[in-house]
Amino acid sequence: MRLSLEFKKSILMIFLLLLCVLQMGILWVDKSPGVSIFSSQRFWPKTENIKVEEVKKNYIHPGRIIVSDGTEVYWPLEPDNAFYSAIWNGFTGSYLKQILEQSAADNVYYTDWDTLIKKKCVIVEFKCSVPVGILQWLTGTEKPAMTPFKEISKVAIIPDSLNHNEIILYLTEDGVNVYEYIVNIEQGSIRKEDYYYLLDTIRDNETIIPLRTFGSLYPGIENGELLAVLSEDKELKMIRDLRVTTPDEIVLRQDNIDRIQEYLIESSSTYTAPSKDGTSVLFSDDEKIVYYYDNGFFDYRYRTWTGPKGAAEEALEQALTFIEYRRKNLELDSGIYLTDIVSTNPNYYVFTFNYFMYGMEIKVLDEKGKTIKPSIRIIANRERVLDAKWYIKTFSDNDFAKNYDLNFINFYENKLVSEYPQFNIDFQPQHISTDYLFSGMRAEPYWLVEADKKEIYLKMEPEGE
Amino acid sequence: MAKKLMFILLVLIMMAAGSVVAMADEESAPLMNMIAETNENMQNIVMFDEAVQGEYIEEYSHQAVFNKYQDLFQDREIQMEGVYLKNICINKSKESYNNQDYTLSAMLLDEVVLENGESIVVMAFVQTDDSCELLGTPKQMFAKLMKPYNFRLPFSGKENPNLIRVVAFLKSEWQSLELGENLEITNFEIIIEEESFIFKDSLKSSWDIIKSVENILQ
Repeated sequence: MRLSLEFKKSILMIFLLLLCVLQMGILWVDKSPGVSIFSSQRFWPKTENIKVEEVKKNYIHPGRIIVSDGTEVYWPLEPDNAFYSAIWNGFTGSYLKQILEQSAADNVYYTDWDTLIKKKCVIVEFKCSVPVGILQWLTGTEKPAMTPFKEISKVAIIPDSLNHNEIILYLTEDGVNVYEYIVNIEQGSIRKEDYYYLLDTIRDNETIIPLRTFGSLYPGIENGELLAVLSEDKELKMIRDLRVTTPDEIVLRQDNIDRIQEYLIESSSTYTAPSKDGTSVLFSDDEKIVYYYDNGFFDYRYRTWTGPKGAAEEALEQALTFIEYRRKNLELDSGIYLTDIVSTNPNYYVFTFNYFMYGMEIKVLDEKGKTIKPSIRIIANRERVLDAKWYIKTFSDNDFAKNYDLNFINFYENKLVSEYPQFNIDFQPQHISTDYLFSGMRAEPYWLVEADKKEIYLKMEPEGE
Repeated sequence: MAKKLMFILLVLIMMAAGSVVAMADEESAPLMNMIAETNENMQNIVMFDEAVQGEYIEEYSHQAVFNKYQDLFQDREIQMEGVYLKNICINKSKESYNNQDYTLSAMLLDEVVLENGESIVVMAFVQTDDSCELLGTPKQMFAKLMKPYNFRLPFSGKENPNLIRVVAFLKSEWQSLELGENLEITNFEIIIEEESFIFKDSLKSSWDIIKSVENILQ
């Protein structure tokens, strides 16, 4: 049978009409404006599976690596220092694995931490106490760990030992109990001579601003081991100003909602609703409710918080998969490091992550609530992420840098006391750091001081302004 | 010929126009630096003026205090603690290799509250044969913690102790200082042991130098 040209045209017309109806139905169900069915992620294969094993080490970094040359002066290494990465890689790649694989033994060392770090040593400080399970997972240790400690917060590496191929490591979880381990220097690890060289020459490195303990100058301070730059003169450091932007792919616009869903939500939602004022969009389905705001704030909540808590490393794996899926899609290249773990709740773990640039932590300044928030906070159990609050941002140089005085005493005298006069009567600091804070398009350096159970943030004043 | 000239002229104009765009620096770092430097200089000028003005009005100087109270500062029998300072420490400087470099640090007593702009001046003197000598640059305390006060002590050896007097007073009342009221004087004695030659140590430090050189060469 030979079909006429008019009939073929009619068939084509009907097919196109059907496609229009289908498209309209999809958009109706999705409750979101869009263009074609082919741009919707459900018709494309999923992003390849995230291999957390390959990237897990990128999320756990030392808070600080400090060199103590035995004179009660402490020299913090910058992350771009060659020794920094060599020490960290040696520790995670070799020493830590040897410690975790050692059979249970009485490794208690009867010297307190403060006395220990007055010796010549390299101190590796974690941002938070890391449970042994996570360290095992990080190093790929197969044997069950029989360690006398449950967590590690600080490690001191002392290259003194009788055997040329061995060094001594001291670990502590709380600064009270100290454990001693002798480990082999394996091929590829930093050599004993290099440790000696670092310890002996660190004082000659004029680019490093040394730290001192409060206790060494002010015996009246209770937290005497707290380190800060305590000097007679100004200690200037060039700090870059950062530009903060939301990745182009997820800028909240009416015509970009499909794309946002594609990048941030793992499965397509059954309900999508932009807010009337256009400042947020809601995605929801039977399992989860997700709000995404125009300032890049991503608020994810799983509807039912059930399931076993599991081990810390299992929950962390869920959290890292969650971050990595979105990070890979959006090609976020700033470092994201684990900064805190809270495991007190019987049903889940709370993990805190922050961005890092130029060796400084980047946190969120909530100007309305006058509080500091982490960039990412994830609640997870062994099965899934239950809740996530994430400021999805990219950071780049703002094309200018300024000199800032890192001497804490100058800051204390010139600014802290004038803003908080109570610290002129009694000052008991628990924590002091300089971090980046951002609230809009700019991240700037701030002093963060915790004293008398009060968290204080004050903008660092650049020199010459 | 005119066409050729016009063409060359046009090329030159286009190159010049292109150069303006190409050389335009978005960062304008030199300009920013220039502005920053100018601001800094201006600030320095203002600060200098204020300092000069302050001295002119109040006539305060460390030398003026020393001249006025020299007898009091020199008399080692006179001392009174606990007026302004607590936890006074004089320790060997951690930052210096010289064993005669020391650091003084202190805290204000809890009951001492400085009004806005007031300060406590802390001076350290060392007793010499017939007089006393000011050590380093005196410090002003505006808040509870005192900035480290670094100085070099003049004497070493067990037979030559450094007899130090730490003086603290309220700057605004410097013309009418009374011991125990608005003046505090504390005595310290520091003996610096002379470094003796130890053969084993010298061998060790020589070996360290050789190792350092070897590491640098590697």
